Amino acid sequence: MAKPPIASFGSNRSVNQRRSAEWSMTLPLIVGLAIFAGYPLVYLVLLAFTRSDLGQQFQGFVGFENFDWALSGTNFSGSVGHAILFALIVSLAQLALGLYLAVILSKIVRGGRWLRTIVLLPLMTPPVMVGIAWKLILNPSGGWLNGILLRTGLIDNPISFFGNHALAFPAIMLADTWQWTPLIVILCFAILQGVPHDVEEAAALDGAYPKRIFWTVTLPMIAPALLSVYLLRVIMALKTFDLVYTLTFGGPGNATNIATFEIWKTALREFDVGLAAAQTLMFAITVSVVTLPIVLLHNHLEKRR
Amino acid sequence: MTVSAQDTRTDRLIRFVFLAAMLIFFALPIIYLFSTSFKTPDDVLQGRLLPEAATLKNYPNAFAHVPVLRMIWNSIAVALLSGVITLVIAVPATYATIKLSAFRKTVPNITLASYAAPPIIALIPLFYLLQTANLMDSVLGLALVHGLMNLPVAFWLLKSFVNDIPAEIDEAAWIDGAGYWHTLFAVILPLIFPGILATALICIILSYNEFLFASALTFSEASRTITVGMSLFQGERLVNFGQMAAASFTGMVPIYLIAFLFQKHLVGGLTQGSIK
Amino acid sequence: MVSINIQNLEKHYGKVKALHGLNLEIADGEFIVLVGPSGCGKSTLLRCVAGLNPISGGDILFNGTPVGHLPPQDRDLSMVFQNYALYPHLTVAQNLAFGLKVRKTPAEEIEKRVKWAADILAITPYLDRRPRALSGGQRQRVAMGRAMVKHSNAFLFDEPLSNLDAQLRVQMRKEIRALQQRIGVTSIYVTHDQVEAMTMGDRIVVMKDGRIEQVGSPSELYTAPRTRFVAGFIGSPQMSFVTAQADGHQMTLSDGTVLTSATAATGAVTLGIRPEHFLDHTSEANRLTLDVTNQQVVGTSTSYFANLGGGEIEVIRQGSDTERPATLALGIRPEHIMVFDKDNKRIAA
Repeated sequence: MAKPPIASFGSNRSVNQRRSAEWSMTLPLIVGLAIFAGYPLVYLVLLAFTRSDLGQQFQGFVGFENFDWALSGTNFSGSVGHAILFALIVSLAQLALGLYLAVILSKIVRGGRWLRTIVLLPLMTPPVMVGIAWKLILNPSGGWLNGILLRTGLIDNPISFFGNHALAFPAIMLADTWQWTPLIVILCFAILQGVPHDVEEAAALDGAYPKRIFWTVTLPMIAPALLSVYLLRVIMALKTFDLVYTLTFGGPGNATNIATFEIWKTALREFDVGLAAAQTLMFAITVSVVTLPIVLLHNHLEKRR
Repeated sequence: MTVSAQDTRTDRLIRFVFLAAMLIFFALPIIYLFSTSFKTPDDVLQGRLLPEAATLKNYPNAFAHVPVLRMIWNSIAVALLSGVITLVIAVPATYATIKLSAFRKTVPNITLASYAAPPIIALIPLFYLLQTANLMDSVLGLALVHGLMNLPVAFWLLKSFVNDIPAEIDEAAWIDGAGYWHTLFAVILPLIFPGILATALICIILSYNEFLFASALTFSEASRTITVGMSLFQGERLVNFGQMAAASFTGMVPIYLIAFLFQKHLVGGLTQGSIK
Repeated sequence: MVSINIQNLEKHYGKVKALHGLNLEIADGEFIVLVGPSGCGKSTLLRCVAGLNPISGGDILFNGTPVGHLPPQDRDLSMVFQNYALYPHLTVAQNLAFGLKVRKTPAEEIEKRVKWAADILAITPYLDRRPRALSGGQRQRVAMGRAMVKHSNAFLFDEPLSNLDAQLRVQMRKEIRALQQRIGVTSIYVTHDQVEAMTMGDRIVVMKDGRIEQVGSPSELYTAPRTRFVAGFIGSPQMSFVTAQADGHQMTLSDGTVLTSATAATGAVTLGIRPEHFLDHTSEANRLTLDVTNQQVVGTSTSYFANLGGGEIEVIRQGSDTERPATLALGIRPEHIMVFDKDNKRIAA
């Protein structure tokens, strides 16, 4: 059984092999992020300060001209406002709906598999197809909702939801809510599962009723987690593009023109990539400014626990 | 649980009605899309839930009008390829960050920040990059972009799965003489397999569903994906809704198949990744 | 199997010092137990020897060869973890074979060694099971087996028995010790349980706050603790301490009681008396009459708690006394009164 032990540490390998493993494992990710995020950022900064179109970039340094023009001469600031409004509203609506649905589902013992599938389908649907499905329902000619309203006599002429200034944005929000509420349900369901039962049971033994337990015991406990979900949803909603593209193309007028769509139009319809780059940078800054308070509030709640 | 026994009858009724309404809300657009795919143009204009005289013609006509199957195939190819790219990069990096504490702060922060950035930021630069690399309008080019695009998502999903493996398991393998890559492959990979599967599925779905990059980076039949193809229906003046619905539904089948077959993994992956 | 030499070993986490320049020599085949309260650095020291924690200063030598710079993979050690850390996806046999496969051991040799270890540990019937399907005790044995098959330089144990119930723990202590003696492998065993330390170790290293308080055989630590901390940590029940004024061999307690110690000192001191060292009143030099405040019957013996010199002391006597006496008349030999100075060092007799 005895064997010469020294031989086994005669190797020249050293603690450095850990270093090299760390690097070789992480480097591809760093390179990937550099290509997908780092390089675009640098490129955008360069584009934003030059006159550049899609065919020929960097035609000359123009200082802040692109930024000035984006703010004064285009619909950009309006589109940023739309994007923020859209993100905050849909996220809040979806969080409320999703949380309530998750609470209900957490009380249901059987049939979970079927409910789960139904809930999962909207989430999995490609956003372009979500747009098509909702277009079919809301269309003035042959839309199902108009069909019902006409048949019941509630309206005499079909409503053009996507052509109406007041209704177009709510229509997009409806489609977005259809797609993303399921994600909130799944996440909130898991959050509720993670709440320790003993605390709720202790509250019940203290004589508190279920509703009261939810508002005074459960909700404060899960508030930081809910805020993370809200943050995630706001970030995702700020990226919305597909639904606007398929449902309204930013219209009627500029009623549903959100920042991502405005930037896309500037770059790939008007080919002014310099201007689009300036818009993109300003939008990126806006995204951080909008999400920062949520992050701070989340950290604050997390600390209090 | 005794707690719910105290709920009043009205509470339960409200809950039931709300649940039923939400389920109908979730199911109806899909049902209506499916039903429309069997409607004649006249039937479509009626705006009823079910077709009056169901026709199967929309499917062959749509396939003849737009190369639906080819585009679905492109989408699947891009999705699978991008899924492989994402996992090959993300799995070792997640392991190194969590278990070897490599760049423990920087890497998670950078990935999070790059997820928060709207993808439109990367669109124009990547457009030029693919042009330079001669990968414009190709399945490989789009797969690369999607593969990189999903890195933050994959990292955050995998993170919690790797975190769940006790540190001693790795340490036992190291003391057993296994190097770090060997430990990753022989010990960690089998243990986080459910997490890898869930992550792969989610990344594949995200790629399949993606539209912005696909629309700017693919345009010929050889590489155009189904989401881009479906948007083409939009531009036409006289949209044949029946055909559009047929093409849409066909395009959704692969994703719904995944959702149906792997719902447990998907739900598990989504919750594990985001809650912990 | 190797001798292990720890020289000036330091470990810092940022500015926090976890180990303050430790020195320790472990002979080939010795069973060393590291013991101390949680946070004393015993696990850190073990993990430094394993290579799991990089060291900040000093070195570790195996048979005179420095290994401090080597990663865990290259130290050729075996380690038994508190939670066993078995590979959940592998069968027991595969768990045992993993380390051998990594080292490219021939298949028949692997089989031979797995069989050898499984026979000794009586886990042969479970070789095809996965760890999930095993009881705590069986997992413990598999972890031992994984350590044995490798014929490694040394065994490292990180509180391996703390997840077992009391009965099994006592049994496994004996088995581990018997196994170690049979194989003759150098072993370092970390525990917070001084009883475990006393029953298992050839020598015991008592640690506190990242420093070694004392190294010695179990009996040395019991009879000649170097500090008040070691005296209090080793021995069950704990030693009782009372403050006193010393004048040569005469120790005056705050209540005026005078005790004679075999140790001479002057000034303020602390006296230490082990509960089991009290004798009957009649026989000995120091005679005491104590007011009993509380009492616990522990099987065949009884613990009494009594006031002495402003502090509470514990007294153990044979027999199960169910009625509490108001007072106890006791004796204590002068050599059983340990004396500690202001710095909590024991003054030698």
